[in-house]
Amino acid sequence: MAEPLLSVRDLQTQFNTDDGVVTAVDHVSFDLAPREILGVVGESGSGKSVTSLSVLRLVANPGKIVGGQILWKGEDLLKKTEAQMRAIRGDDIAMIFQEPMTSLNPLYTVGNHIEEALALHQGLHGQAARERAIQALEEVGIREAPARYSSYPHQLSGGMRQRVMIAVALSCNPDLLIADEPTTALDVTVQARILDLMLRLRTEKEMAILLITHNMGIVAKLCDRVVVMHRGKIVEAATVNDIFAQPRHPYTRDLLKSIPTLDSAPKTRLATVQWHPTPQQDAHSNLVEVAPGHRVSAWVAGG
Amino acid sequence: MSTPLIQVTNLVKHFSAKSGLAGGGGNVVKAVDDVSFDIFPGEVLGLVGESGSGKSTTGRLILRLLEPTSGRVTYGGQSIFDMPKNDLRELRKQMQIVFQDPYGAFNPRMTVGAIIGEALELRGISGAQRRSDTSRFLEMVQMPANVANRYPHEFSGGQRQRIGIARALAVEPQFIVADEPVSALDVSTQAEIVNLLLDLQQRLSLTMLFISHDLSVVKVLCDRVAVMQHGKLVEVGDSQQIFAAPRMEYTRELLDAIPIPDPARARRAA
Repeated sequence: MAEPLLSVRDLQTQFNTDDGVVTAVDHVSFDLAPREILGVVGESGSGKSVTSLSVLRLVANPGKIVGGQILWKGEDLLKKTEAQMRAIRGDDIAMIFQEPMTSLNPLYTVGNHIEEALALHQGLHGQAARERAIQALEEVGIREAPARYSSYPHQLSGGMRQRVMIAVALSCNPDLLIADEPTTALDVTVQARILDLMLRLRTEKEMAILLITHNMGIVAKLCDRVVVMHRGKIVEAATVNDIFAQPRHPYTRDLLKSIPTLDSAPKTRLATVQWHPTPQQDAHSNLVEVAPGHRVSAWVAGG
Repeated sequence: MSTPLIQVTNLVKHFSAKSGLAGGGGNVVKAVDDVSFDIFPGEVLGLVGESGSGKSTTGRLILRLLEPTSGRVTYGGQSIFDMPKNDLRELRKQMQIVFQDPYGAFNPRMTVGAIIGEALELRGISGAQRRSDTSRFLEMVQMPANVANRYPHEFSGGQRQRIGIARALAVEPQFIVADEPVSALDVSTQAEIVNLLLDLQQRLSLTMLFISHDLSVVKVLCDRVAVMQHGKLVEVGDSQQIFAAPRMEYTRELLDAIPIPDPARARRAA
């Protein structure tokens, strides 16, 4: 494997709540190679979104990164100043969210959003910024880009808004795009087009993608490798083919079996997730390699 | 084939839309545009389509939670839009709705017991009978009886959906409209609620209109499927036929758009 672009080492993120300290991310480690698409899957509360926010140091109070390293091209992001982080966010690492409407400013035109990013990160203004913004809209497949440049977010459909978010995110040519459930709020036909767009842009822009999702169908279509999270821990990590063909962890197996598909038998009960960790299993977060590139909780491997 | 429990005939619902910031235009949105179909006793009819296709509006019209622009819906042969208020109230006891997030439909200051008790009261059940029936309906959705003393916010999404289903069942309806009941749930919880709906529907011989955008779930639960697009009914048929050999291009498109959880096939499709 090439030198990792991003290397998350032993990351721990905690939340101080009235009921005590909650460990949302528990000794999480993974690498992401240049141009690789890594899926982080898990259910709500598994820590997948907090992991992605931690990478950008965007965890809000009462959340706090309490340990580990986030190595970006070999440099620890946890040692950067806030000013240095601002320069990295958007420029080197960009992020898109599930609901673009809440990330877009209703008083800004589509063009304003992209130009703000260009001015901040690339020092582009005026006509040059406008041309680059229209080009960015064309790259994400928005038709009549010069006209859409002047539209406001509320005038666009959900799929179009997500395209605009992607255009804003990609306008500064980041090396990594973090996408947190980017198509969950969209209709299936729109989702299919956005997923195809992400695959195309990965190749054209030579960027890596960290994809947070609960949808194993999207993982199968997009990802090169997958990490499966459960209660703040990675329980299994492997190539996408290995995860689907040879899942080792009982949680991964149960999760895969419980998904209804177009092959599901009609009028037949679905399998459910039966596995629940014992306190002993829950206390350990170390993984062992069971095959090249395939890591699983140590107790599963008998370690 | 038996006599339909519900017949929907040329159903139309227009909403007047004020487009743009100035509120000008006054366009009419044809949310439901000349839709006709039947629902037979004891069957689960899936109503699928993308957002804005008119599937939820159709569900609400069938329960007369909305008044139609034109058209007819009969329930057991009676026209529900021509029905006097008192008769409608009686009929409503036979029809219930389960929502995507039942939390929005619960009074947060009522305990679970009070929420289900209110539904039982509609059938004139009170006192000790009410308490034992509350336990019975909670048991039906696999919740322990002691949750009756707790409040909706104390429960997870999946547990709340169970409470929502228990409330609907407490009225002992014949017919349930389930509007995206598993869309907001995690994968593992979704499988549990799908199984619960499947069991209850078969055990109680419920007739169900299952509204969903998720065709995989529809395949598991439904006997027949109706596909809507832009307010119109595109295709209706047996579930097996729709999934194996859809007649309409739009249905095919919907099926093809679903990401397949199998890397080999997902990539071939792409």
